[in-house]
Amino acid sequence: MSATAIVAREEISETWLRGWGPWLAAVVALTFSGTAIALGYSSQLNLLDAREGLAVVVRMSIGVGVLLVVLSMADSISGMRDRSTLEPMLLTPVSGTSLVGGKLAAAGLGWLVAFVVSLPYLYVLGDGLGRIAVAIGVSAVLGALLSITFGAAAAFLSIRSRTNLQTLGLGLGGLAFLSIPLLLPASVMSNPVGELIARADPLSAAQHIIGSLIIDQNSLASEISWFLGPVVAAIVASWLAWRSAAFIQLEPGS
Amino acid sequence: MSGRLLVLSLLVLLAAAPAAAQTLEVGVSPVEIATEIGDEHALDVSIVNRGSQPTGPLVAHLVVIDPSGGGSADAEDWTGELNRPLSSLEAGESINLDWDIKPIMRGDFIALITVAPADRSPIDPASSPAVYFAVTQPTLLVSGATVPVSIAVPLIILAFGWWLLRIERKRVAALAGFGSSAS
Amino acid sequence: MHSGQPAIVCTSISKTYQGQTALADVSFTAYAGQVTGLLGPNGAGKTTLIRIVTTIVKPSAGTYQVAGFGPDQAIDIRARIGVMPESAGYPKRTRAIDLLTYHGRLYGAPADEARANAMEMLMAVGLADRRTDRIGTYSRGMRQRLGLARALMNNPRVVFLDEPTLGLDPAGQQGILELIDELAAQRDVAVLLTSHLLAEIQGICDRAVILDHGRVVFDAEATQGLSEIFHKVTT
Ligand SMILES: Nc1ncnc2c1ncn2[C@@H]1O[C@H](COP(=O)(O)OP(=O)(O)OP(=O)(O)O)[C@@H](O)[C@H]1O
Ligand SMILES: [Mg+2]
Repeated sequence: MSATAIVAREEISETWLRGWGPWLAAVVALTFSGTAIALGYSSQLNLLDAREGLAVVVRMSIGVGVLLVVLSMADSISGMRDRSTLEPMLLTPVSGTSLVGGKLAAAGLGWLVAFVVSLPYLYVLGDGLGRIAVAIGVSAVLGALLSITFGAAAAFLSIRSRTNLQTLGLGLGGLAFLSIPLLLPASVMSNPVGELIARADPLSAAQHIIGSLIIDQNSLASEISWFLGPVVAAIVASWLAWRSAAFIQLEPGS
Repeated sequence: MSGRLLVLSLLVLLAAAPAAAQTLEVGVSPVEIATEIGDEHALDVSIVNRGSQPTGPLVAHLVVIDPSGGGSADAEDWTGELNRPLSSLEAGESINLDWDIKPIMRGDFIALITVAPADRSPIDPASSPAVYFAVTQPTLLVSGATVPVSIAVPLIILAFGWWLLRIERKRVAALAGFGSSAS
Repeated sequence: MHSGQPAIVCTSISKTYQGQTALADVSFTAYAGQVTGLLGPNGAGKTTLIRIVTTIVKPSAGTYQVAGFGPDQAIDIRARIGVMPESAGYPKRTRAIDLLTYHGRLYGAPADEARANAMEMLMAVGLADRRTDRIGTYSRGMRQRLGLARALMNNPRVVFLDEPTLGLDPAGQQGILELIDELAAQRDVAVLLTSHLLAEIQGICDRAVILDHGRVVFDAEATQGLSEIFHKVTT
């Protein structure tokens, strides 16, 4: 087994065998259940609302999955610094890229679980809407892209921060910054500059893709260019994480 | 005498004025549609210029009314094109439009096509006759499996978590026994 | 590596932290099969020196060789050294035997071999009967023993122990010192250990290096002269 695989295996058993993993997965399933039952019993439900419900579950599975990845990766290196467990790890012949890569792979399982748990709900909510395959595809592709992007970005911050608190502060600040376009009224974002920002911001682009493909039922071909931003973001974040992982320091800046 | 004539002719003029401005005529068919949520229907809309002058640019607009007043019938959700710009109609000219409408709510609704001048030409807007929609719910919108799935999935995951816990307990028990039996 | 061969060679190592000098022109050699004591008061630079030669902190100037490898071959050095850091933390929920097994696997040992080795190390430091306990339930001295076990998991050629007897009871201290002695004498391992207390390590040290304010003030076989200089530095 490669060093990356050994690290990933250890992290996975920490979370799923000895940790809170399965119980968290059950909580995620319960929130999906609540959403599905609320939609099922709504008397005013129309077709638009039904597709909106499908999109809600897709957004939830991506959101919860990415959040799990981000939280584990933010904790990855600066958390070890805080708990003084980084030094013994740096003293082993395992490279920084294997360490971060293994942790990222293990964290990615968190998203994968949220995605798999959402599948039965997508199936029952999408029944009769003809959008199940689209919803599953959108959830898988966007979820994987955003998990890589935000997981790698969190790893980068975690490597460069002195403490976990600093990582969390910078990370939340960054997320809030990227959410600004989501909060602006649609009219503000519909001019060319606004659209460019929305395409470049992975969160806004994902929101647009979900709305367009699942709710408005547009074709994939007409929206394919919206994937460019999230793909570029995933590549840039991975590259940053990869570069900095090769030079993990016991205490950054000293 | 001349005063009386003047009044009379004025009255005639006043009475004739609105009739002279009624230039546009909007027709639609069918005018009664019974359907299910999500089914698409095409309205055949005809617009005729009954006047003697060109109309100037026009715009046609779909209106959806919920006569019960409670629900919010948002015409934007019923059609892809809420407004349709039309070029000027010559005197006597007519145009036919296909308007695709897809009801998204259950209930009784009234749809109208209104045509208005797009610039400030002095002709009155006109509306089509009402199209009465009776929309029913399709038999299966929300799957009957929703509730069973919503209960089963969390339970399956909990059972899976419990199973993992048991595997881990067994592993630790084996590790605890592993040295003491050897020594 | 044979007994008497140089195992750690430091050449003019300096380290400054934001303008503050932690080490200044430190040169010394430690040999295989010997226990070298690194002595000095608080803040003398002992921990900094160990972090530099164990490849995890870059020196501001100077170079070093450990087990025949230089600073550019960090991975080769790490594969051959065992380190017990001054303030190592442990994952609280992990069980001692799992921690050591994982650590062994990080050095490339197959799972079974790593587990058997972990068991052996736990016996050597007297923790065998607590092997499946979570580390969070360990006392300070037990964690210290676990740290020593971890440092030896990869069968290292050079061992660095930063205050190994800190927090141990007299019997524990004695046990660890005997273990260290045996490592050097019978397995030809080079051991570098730090301490504030001369008396504590004098019995097992073959050589001693005394640091004071980042400078080497004594570097020779452990003899009578040592205690005089040590006394001068620490008082
Ligand atoms: N990360 C750091 N940033 C700034 N200064 C540091 C850092 N690490 C060590 N120093 C400084 O370097 C000097 C040497 O510290 P070091 O920890 O090496 O001493 P030591 O000999 O191990 O002391 P002790 O006996 O207390 O463990 C001290 O003045 C310390 O303040
Ligand atoms: Mg120290």
